[in-house]
This record gives sequence, C-alpha cells and structure tokens, in this order.
Amino acid sequence: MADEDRDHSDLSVTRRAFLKGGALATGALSSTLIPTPADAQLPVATESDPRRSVVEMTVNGVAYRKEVPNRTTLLQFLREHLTLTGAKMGCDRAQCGACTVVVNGRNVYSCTTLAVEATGAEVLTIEGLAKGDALHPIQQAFIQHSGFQCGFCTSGQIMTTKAFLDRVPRPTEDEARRAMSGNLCRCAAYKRILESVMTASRLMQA
Amino acid sequence: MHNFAYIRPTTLRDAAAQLGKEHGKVMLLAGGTDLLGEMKDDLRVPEKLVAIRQLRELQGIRPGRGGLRIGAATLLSDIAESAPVREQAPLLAMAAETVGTPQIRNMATIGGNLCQRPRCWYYRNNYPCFKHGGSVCYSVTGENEYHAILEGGPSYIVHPSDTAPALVALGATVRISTGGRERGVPIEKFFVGPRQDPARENILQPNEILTEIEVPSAPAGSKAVYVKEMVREVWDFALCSVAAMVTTSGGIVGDARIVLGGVAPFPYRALKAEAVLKGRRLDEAAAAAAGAAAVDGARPLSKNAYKVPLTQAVVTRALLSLA
Amino acid sequence: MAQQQNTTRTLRVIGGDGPVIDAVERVTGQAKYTGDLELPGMLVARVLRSPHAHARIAGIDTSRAEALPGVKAVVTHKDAAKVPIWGNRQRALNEQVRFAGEAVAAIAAVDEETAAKALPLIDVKYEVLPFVLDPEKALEPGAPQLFADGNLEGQPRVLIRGDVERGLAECDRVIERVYHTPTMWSGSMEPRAAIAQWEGNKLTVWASTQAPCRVQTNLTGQFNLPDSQVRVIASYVGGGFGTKSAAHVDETIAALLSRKARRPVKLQYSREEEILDSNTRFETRVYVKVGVKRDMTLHAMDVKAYINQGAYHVRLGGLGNQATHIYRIPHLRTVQYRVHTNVPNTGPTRGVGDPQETFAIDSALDEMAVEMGWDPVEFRLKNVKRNGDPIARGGSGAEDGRLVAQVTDRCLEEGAARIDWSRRSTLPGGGQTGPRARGLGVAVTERGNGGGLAGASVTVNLDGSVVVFYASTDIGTGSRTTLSMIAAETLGVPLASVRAVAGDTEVAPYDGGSYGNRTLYSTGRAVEAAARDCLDDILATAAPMLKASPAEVELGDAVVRVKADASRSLPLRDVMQRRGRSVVGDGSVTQSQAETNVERAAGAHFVEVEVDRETGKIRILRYVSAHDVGQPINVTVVENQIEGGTIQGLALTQAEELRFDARDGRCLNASFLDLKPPTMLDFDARRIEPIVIANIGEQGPYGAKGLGENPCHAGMAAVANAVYNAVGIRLRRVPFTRAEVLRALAEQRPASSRTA
Repeated sequence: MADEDRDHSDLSVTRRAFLKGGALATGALSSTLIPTPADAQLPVATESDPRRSVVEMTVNGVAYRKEVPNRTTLLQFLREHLTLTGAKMGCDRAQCGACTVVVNGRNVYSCTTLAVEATGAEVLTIEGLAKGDALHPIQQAFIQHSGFQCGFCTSGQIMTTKAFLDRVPRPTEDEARRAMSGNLCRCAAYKRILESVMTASRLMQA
Repeated sequence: MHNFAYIRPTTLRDAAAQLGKEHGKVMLLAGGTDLLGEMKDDLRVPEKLVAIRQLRELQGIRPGRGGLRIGAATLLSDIAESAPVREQAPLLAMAAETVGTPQIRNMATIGGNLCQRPRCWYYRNNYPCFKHGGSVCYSVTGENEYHAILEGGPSYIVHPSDTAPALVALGATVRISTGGRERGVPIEKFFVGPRQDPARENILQPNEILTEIEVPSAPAGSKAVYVKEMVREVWDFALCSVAAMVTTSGGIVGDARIVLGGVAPFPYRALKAEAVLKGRRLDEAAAAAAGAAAVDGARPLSKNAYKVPLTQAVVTRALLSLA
Repeated sequence: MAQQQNTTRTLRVIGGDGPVIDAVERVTGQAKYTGDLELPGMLVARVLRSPHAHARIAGIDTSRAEALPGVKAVVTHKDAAKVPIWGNRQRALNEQVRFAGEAVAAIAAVDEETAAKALPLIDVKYEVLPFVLDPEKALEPGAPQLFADGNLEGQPRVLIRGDVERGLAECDRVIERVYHTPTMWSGSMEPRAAIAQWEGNKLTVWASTQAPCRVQTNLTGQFNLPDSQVRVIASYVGGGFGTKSAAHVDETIAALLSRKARRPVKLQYSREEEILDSNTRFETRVYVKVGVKRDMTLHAMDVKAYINQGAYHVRLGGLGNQATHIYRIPHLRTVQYRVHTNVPNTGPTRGVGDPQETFAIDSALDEMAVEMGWDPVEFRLKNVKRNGDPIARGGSGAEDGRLVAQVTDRCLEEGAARIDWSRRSTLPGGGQTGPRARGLGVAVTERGNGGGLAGASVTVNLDGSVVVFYASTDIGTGSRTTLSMIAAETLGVPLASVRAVAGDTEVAPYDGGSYGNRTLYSTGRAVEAAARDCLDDILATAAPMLKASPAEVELGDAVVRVKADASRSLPLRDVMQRRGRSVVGDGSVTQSQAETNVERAAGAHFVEVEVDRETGKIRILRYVSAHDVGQPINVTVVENQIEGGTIQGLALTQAEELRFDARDGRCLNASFLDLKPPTMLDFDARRIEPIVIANIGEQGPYGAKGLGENPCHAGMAAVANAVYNAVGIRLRRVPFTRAEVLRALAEQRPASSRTA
C-alpha cells in the first residue's frame, strides 16, 4: 500500500525483533483457550486521534503491532494491512463465511469483527495452516475430495473445519454438516466439502 | 462505516460512565454481529463505541438463587454448550443453538441477542419508518410477508430474537445497571410493544447496560422445547418460533408457558393457549386446541396470512413433542 | 458409471478423475482473485447509485466531492463515451437512470473511507420519472417508457413450425396454463471487481469476468483503442454463473477513473452492488397451450412468453431450447416479448432462460399427463426427439439439421431406474394419511454446446514441458485441468508436465469466454488443434533424428518412438533440446454453420419430495440428475458440476427472489440473509445422485460435450411435479415459499372435501 496520501505509521515488527523485546510470547497455537478478560490486552488509543488505535495481535504465530482507524475490520486488517488475502470479502455482513478465520480457537467472521476487538488475540488464517510445503491434513483432504470449485469460499471452509475438528476430533456427519453450515458455497460443492471434513478428521487422527 | 472513537473499559462502572443521555451517540459494542452491520449500512452512526464483550463483570454462567446467572456478554455458543444450562434450562440452550451459525454464536452475546434490532426490510433499507423516528410503517401496504400477525401496529416488525421467547417462557429476570444503580426486571417487562414505543423494542435507557440474566431452574416435572421454522434450514430468522414449557403432575398439566417468536413485535406469550392446557391431559386434542388458541386474535397483513396456520401447526407439534 | 466404448483409441489421460491441477493454490489461499491484487499507488473507487427506479439527471455537481482531500477523480455521465456497453443498451454512466441502484457517478480516492465520505458530496438533481416493474404492464398503452423506441426490445421473437391453430384443433385434449418465475439473484461468491491501469495509451484491466475478450472488445469501443492497446486479465475467478459472462459497467468505470486520476484504480463491488448491478436472472411469465392426441403424441404447443429484460439487457434473453429442441411437436409456435422494465439489469445466468422454460414446459406436460392419466416418463419417452430426427440448427424454428448423439431416452430410463419410478403413485398423495406426504417428479432438459470463435495456443518448451494459453477462464469449472488434459492426451505427454495460463488476452488468441457450455467444447477443440499443431512439428523434428519419416513416428509418455520399432526412441526432452527452439501451436476454431449434424446434451431429473401439509415445508428426500456429458474428460469435475448445478437449480425453488417495493421500485432484499442461497444443510447433498452418461459425441474434443449449464435447468419443474404427486397442488410460481404452498393447500381443501 505504497501511498503518499495514506499516512499509516507502520508499526509492524518482525517476529524476531518483537520477541527480542520480550513483549509477547508466541508458541504453538492454543486451539481451545479463550483468554479471560483479565489476560486480554487492551488496545491503546492514539494520543492524537481517539478514532484510531494501536492494535497488537498474533497472526499465524507472528506478532504484529499497527495503528489503524477503529473502523478497520479484522478482515481489512488481514487483507490490507498484513496483505494476507486468503480470507475473502464475500458479503462484508457476516452472511457468507468467506472471511472466516480462527480467533483464539474459535471460527469467526472477520468481516464483522473489529481489529481493535482482536487486540491480544491469536489469529489463524489459511496462510498459517501449512507447515512450509507440507499441507495441513485438512488441505490435503479438500484436494483429495475436490471440496471446492471456484475456491473463493474455500479458505473460510477450511478455517471452519480447523476450528471444528480441534474441538470435535471425531464428528458424525450430521455434526460436521451443522458445523459447516455457516459457510456458503455457491458452487454448492457441499457433498465434497463434507467428505473433505470427514477425511480430514481421519487424517488428523493418524 | 464511519469512523468512531473506541473505548474498552475494564469495569462496569467505567463502561457506564461513558454512556450519554441520548440514544445512538455512544453505543455499547458486544458481539457486534448486528451493530456493525447496521453501522456499515449507515443505520447507526455512533460517535463512540464502548466495548463490553470482554468486560469481566458481564462474563460467565454461574449458579444463582434457584437457577443460573448468565453474564450479558456470554457468548451464545458457550450458552448452547454449557452443561449447567443444558441441565437446568435446556430450553435456553436449544434456542441459543438455533441462532445464526457456529461463527455467529462464537461472536454474538446473549445480551446482544436480546437487544438486536428488527430485520424488517424497510428498517434495514433506512426508510424513515417508526424505527428511524418516523411515523409510518412501510410494511402495511408494502412487502409484509415476514411481518407481525399478532400485536402489530402502528409498527409491524417482528422480534427477531430466539433466546427471548425461551427466556420469557423460563420466567427470567434481566439485571440492568447504570454503573451505580442496578435494577432487576422480569424479562417480559423488558420488551416493549409498538403501542408503548414504536421506535424501540426494549426499556433500556441510553445510560443503562444490560448486565445479567437470571434464569430460574426449570421446575421439576417440566419439559420444554424450542421449535423454529425458517426458510432455510439454518442461518435464518424465524418465520415463527415457539418456546414451550409444560409442567405436569400425574399426567395433568399444572403450568404451561408458551411464547412465540417471529410473529409479534415482542416475544408473544400465548396466554390463551396456556390457559387451554392447564388442568388437562396433554394429548392430541389438547395440543390442537392450544395451537388454535395461540393464533386467536391474529390479524394478518396482505402477504403473511400463511403465518397463521404455520404458527398453529408449530405450536401444536411443539406441545405434542412434550406429551 | 456406464462408459460407452465406441472410441477406437486408448485414452491415457482423458476420462480419468482426480483433483484439478490448481488445487493447491485454491486450498492455501495463494490463488489471487482480482480483489486480492494491489498495485503501487492504487486508488479505491466507490460508486454513487440512484435511489430512484427511473429518473433523469437534471444536474450533477461534483465540485464539493472533488475538493475533499484524498479524492483523485470523479466521473459522471459527462465523462463516459456515448457508446453502449457491449451487448447492452447501457452506457457506463447514463444521463437517464432506469433502475434503483444504477451507477450515477464514481469516485477514486486514496482510501475507502475518503471515497465513502466523498460520495454524498456529489450533488445530483433528479427529475424523477414514473416507473414500471411488470413486463406485461410495461407493454400496456400509457406505461412509463424507458426508451424512445418503447419498452419492447426489438421485434417479438416468433418461431413457427407447422400450423399451430390447426394442430390444436386436431388435438383430443388441450390445456392452457401460465407459469411465472420472478427476477432472481443468480450470482457467485466473489462480487465483481475490476482494476484498471493506464500506461500511456495502453490500458490493462484485471477483472472478475468469465469472458476477458468480451471485456476487451467493450473497452476498445469505450476508449477507441485497438485490441493491441487493451489487455484484460482474469486469472482466478470466484464463480460466475453467467453473471460475469459479458462486459459490464464496472470495468469501464474503473478505466475512466484511472485515466482521469492517472493512477491505478480498484473498483470492488459490495455484495449489495453485486446483487443490484450485475446480471439478475430474468423474470418470465409463460403462457402455454399444449395439445395431445389420445395415442399419447404431443401434437401442438403454443407458447407466449413475456421476458422481463430489466433496464438494459439486449443480447440473448428469452427462452429457446426446451419446446423447440426436446420434443417432437409438429405444430409449434413460440412468441416471446422481451420487455424493458425498471428492475435491475438482467443478463445471462446459469442456463439463461432454460430453467424458466423447463419449469413452464415440463410442468405443463406433467399437468397434461395427469389429465390424461399417463405416466409422465412414458409420455416423455414417447415424444422426445431421437437420433436422426430433424432439429433446428440455430435459434430459428426451421428444422434444418439432423439430431445426432442424443440420449434423452437413456437419461430418462437410467434416472427412472435409479429412483425406482415404478413405485410412484398415480394418484396425488396416493392415499397417504397424516400431515406429510411423499411424491415423485420428473423433468427433462437439454442444451446445445458452446459455439462462436474459440482460440488457444500451446507451447512446448525446450525441456519438453507444455503450457496451454487460453483467453477464456477457469471460473471453478476446472477448465485449466480439462484443457490441460486435452493437450496432454493429444501430445502424448503426462498431465503433470502441462500447465495452463488462463484468462489473459495478451498472451492467448481471441476466445469468446467461459459461458454457455462452451469452454470445454469450443475452447477445448482449439486446444486440441493447437496441440496437434505442436505434435506435427515435434514429429517432423524428431523423425530425421530417428531416421524415419514423420508418419512413421509417434509421441507417447513424452517419448518419440518409431511405431514399428519401439527400440528406436528419443525422450521428448532430448528432441526439444536438439531442436533448440520451442514449438508453438495455434488453434482457432469456429463452430461450423455448415454442419448439418446437430449434437446437443440431454438431461433428466428425478426427485422424491416430502411435503408437510401443515407447515408448507418441501423437503428433498432424494434427487437423481442424469446427464449426457459426451466423453467425460475428468469424471470428478463432471460430477462436481452436476451436483453443484443441481443444488443451484433447487435453490430457485427455495428463495433467491428479488423483491421490490411497489411504491418506489427499490429492491428491498439485496443481501444473502434475505435472498437465502442454500447452506450445507438446505439440500442434503448426499442425497443428490449424479448419473454420468458417457455418450461419445461427434464434434467436441474427444467426443466431450458441454455441461456447465444443464444441471440447474430442471429443478423447479421436477420439484413442482413431485409436489403435485405428493399432495395434489400445482405450483406455478417460484420460489415455492411457505406462503405459496400453504395458500395452494388452503385453496385445495374445500375442493377435496367436496369430493370426499
């Protein structure tokens, strides 16, 4: 976003530099822990403008600290500020699921979550799922079953699957169908998405 | 979405201190699943948001006097999955589970679910209707397929909440705080009809925060069910819904609470249907009689007459499932 | 899967299954869709839209918006060329707006917030005009007029075969019915997006489109540029379903803003904008008169249809295939009025008018079967066209061609067997008591394959790897994969060595685009021709190396060998390296008008429903979609298309209707929550069973046929017919809402109680 008119002081720091500062430990992502309010960090309003805040969060294991307008959604933060474009804008109204990411172990619609509200959170996006070239078993399963057509909803489908299988490792098909019901697929590859989830469950056990 | 100041206080007192005397200028942000959409559509343009979703005093499900105390900022998914709720007030868990989607329930709070705004297309498209301070309900001579068949007028919105009918049936009490002063209100009195105030759906004042819901344990011998009819199987608001709780003793109905969602501007207690059941054995005839009584007095608009037989059938079936 | 083995060659790649070749990109978030792209210095665009269904812009003052810091350009109708958008009556921005939601002006600013702030600063004075939403009312005298030449688009389309008046008079039974489908949403998950960048006089546009060359053609007209100065790129596209199959205003608006601001501009539509300002599925009201003879022959049909084109749509529109192409009807007349009204613009959507027409025709035939006490499958089998029958080659009624490779009968027979049609009760309800009743329904459909100019090129690199270049797109239909498979098969190399570059007009020859069952069928033939071109070159190069003539050598498994002596061989890689130059093959084909053999693709849908008489709920218990796919290229892709298309067809029975306020003409439900596209729970996809009928065609690549459209045609008719079979109510308007079903049941009750 090179733009002379957009004076966003970029406060992002590299993972190493940030850890050196010792401000925040990043480790294996906790899949079930929801931070209690006492643990939650508070966003810091900037001194000059109460309508902007400095937000800090860990995304895919990397700590970020950036000043943003308060109106910035988590989806915008990921896509525009961190250039993580895997989560998609399909409706911007919590009505399609293409923007789904995992925040503190829960799948949420990032289009309807404010970035300032995610301060202190651990966020996992589709970009953080594979380990290098090794695809996550969920991704392998979606490929094996062709659990998509156009792929636009796929990041969201996979992130919902991730949050779901972390909580319910061996679901029934009906549990899986309910768990996936917050992610539209207009191509309607639903049979294959369901097969992908069930296979992913087996692969993750192995 | 217009920009706004954002504050995340750490105490209820601090949060309340932020609130003003006027609706809409300073607003509480909980799950944001409704409010942020409204702000994106310019239905609400607050100057400041006070974030309370993570406020410690509004969290959690705790045992209370004769029941449970549920913090207003407790997530719907936590309520739907909570063992104490499933045990002591299963009706609430059932209702919470029908809200939106897993993602919505991971974001939305019980307090927000009670305070959400109507889904009327005219309201959502920013027509200058009662809800926006105007003096017209556009649905009356417009598109009213999803509007009220009971208690409508002058506004004909339907109350969209699923947990509200359940909590009314359970006889819950909501606690409301100004930071200093606190009061408890029976949840039935929390909601207001359009004849009382066509612009709003509840009694909350601009400086008040809904803090907690006290849910009495379902009485011994009671059975309850929440049934919701939607266009889609999920991710939809109710065409009509019913929260029914029936307490029987020796096969005879001692008490019945039947509350309808999606058909009236507030959770509608079908008192006539309740009366029909009391003192009777809950059988097919009684359920059918209660179903008919539930829609007694319905006055459908031009396009929503279908809701009358639908509601009747849903109430009848819900009751039969408890027999 | 039944596979007809009438091919003489052994296929190595084609006919396989397995994941698409770009699967990893799609499951890792690496696939970049238009909205994911960022260019240095890029501005954000927002569009000001008309709140009025019909108005003239009496004045427009942009000075306050332009003065806002951060605003870099504002464009209005004064900036737009007086050239209609390709295939449309609409200019990029119009002085007279004809639907609520139409673009009035656009702003490019440094960020979204600034653009949003600037929008209300544009002062527009509207002279509000009366509007009309109903296509029949729009033709009445005194109706508000959208255009100087009236609301009727062109002449009524009339198609006459035989003598319909005489034919109807000769019939033993004639019924007359009317069927209605409203304006419906038919879009995709990815909202429209376009990025424009000028470098001098060269325009590059990244667009979420199915048809980059059509967008290019439009932009050359809008900006008076040669093709060489306009490049359109659509790499990953998040679905289209027809709504992105033509040029649209968004690409031109982005280019206008970019030219004015002298910076790249991204115009990303919101969901609401996508619903209101893309293609909607057009409303139809179809009056059908059907006549039969006692011997079960369909003898005459008279169809009059009103097509609500919306504000601007010109091209296509209307019905076309079902009445004329499926059944033998000696006396047929169809008259279609394409009418402009003030509803949002329509355009092609999956199946175009075929789902609507199938609903009308195949419902009417079902009603006739009920009247006559005939079995609906038998009735159809008796009357469907068979191979060798005369058939219309084009859109005219004249049956100037001969039908070949048609298997409508097989689709019907295999589908009926799968769903166990024989158990269907001939009486509605079949004596079922209780609130819920089950019923079976059938509908037949078909469609032609592709057409128009198709092009592709294939390059064989020095290391023997292969790249397919095509300017059509992969919108989720797997064309990168299936076209690569065609190249691999033709050349004799493994699929893993082939890569496909999709959707770039600058690197590939002209191709119409990805719509109308044409990517595989038409572009596939171009790929086959291009690969064959390469193969000829490779064999000519390799033959002397192997001391043989080109006719004596062959390429297989990436090895060139002498046919008669396999020991004399050279790996393709070695051939290419000794050759020292890449091989480039070109393929451009047009569907020949001279071809008298006409091949089309049939399908038959069977459904079992359960109708709840008290709640009006229709549940799909089982659904069988039998489709002729020609030679399946990739079975996984084929089944995925059938399953998904079937659900999209079913979606039209559930919701997706755009609703308008009669007082101001505004659409009230332009959101996913209100249009309610199906979730995973809505139609149990496990109960949708595709039957892939592999029926090798004559003209497509390796005998393949197009498939994308067909699976969504028959859902409305099949479900309506099954609902009748279950409970005896006839639904003649979609969607089948609770209101519709409960009203029909209530109307039925007094009648049935009289007979009881």
